[in-house]
Amino acid sequence: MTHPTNGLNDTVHQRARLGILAVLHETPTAEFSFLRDALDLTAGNLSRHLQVLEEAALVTIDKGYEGRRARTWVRITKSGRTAFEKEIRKLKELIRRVEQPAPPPEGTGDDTG
Amino acid sequence: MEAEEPAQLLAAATRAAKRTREARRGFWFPLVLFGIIVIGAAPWYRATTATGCAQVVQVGPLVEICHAHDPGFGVPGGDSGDATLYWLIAVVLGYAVTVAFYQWRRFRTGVAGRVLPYALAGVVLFALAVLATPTATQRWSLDPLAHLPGDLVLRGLTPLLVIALALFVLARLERSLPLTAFAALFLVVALVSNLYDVENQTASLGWTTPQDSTMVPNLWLSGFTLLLGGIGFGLAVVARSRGRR
Repeated sequence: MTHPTNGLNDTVHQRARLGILAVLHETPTAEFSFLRDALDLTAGNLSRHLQVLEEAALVTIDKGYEGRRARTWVRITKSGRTAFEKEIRKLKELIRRVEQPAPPPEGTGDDTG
Repeated sequence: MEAEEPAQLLAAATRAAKRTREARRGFWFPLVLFGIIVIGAAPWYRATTATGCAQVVQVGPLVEICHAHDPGFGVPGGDSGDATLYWLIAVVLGYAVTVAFYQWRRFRTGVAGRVLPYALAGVVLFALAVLATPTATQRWSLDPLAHLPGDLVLRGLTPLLVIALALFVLARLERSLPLTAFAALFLVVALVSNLYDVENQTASLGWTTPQDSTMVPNLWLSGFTLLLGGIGFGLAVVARSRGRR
């Protein structure tokens, strides 16, 4: 049986990027400013994380205008959705393992007989 | 890779997802809108003949049946064509306005909600209800299939069932347990409105309706349930956003 840490994805296993995917998992598309406010990130920081996720093909980014307002819409891809769900499963598994009572160390049994 | 505690990471992701769900949800709006639409149908549910019968059918030498009018979208003795036209326009417009509202919210909040399947489900269910409702000729025919809807179409309030069933689709899209519970409650209310003369109860409470408006309490029961539900959910949204500030 493999340890759950083996299944963690380095791109996704990071607070801001996992947060971005958590937001996008809940909505067909989210705007840049919503992501920035919801995750309490600076615009520059969010841009860098989005770039990493886009390069890994986990999100797609659409820039355009709505009226006279420039808007950037971010959407999760199918592989992004899969990666996010897998990461959440692994995290839950890890937490469950950590919370399980540790087995007694070997050699501590009563061997007086 | 930054070293983060799994529990902290999971908690942060859960908070972000919860906040997105709250920003995305706007289901109070269709509840209020359809509440108004249902209440607004009352003028088309007045009987226009003195007896309240559009047609009297002789079923035996001594027995006559006061025939409920044709398509199941009006009141016995009323002009069902007008009621049908009202529902056709109001239901389609209601779903179109709901889609437009979600689009406006997407622009305003920066989060898109999925609402198109809800609107499509509502329109398709409504079309099916129109097709499934027996005509006057079918109602008195010997074909057992023509009698299937029976009491369900007698009061001409089948659009309420369409609105109720479509709410389950919205609840699924919004992944909202409170909306699922409300949809179940409203389905019960819509069934009561379709199968029972609510006037029997309102009269015992001292509210007597004119003889030509006996379906109005049925409409109001469903309409005000939707309206109050929508207002309740709307106030909850306002309270949450104030609490966050």
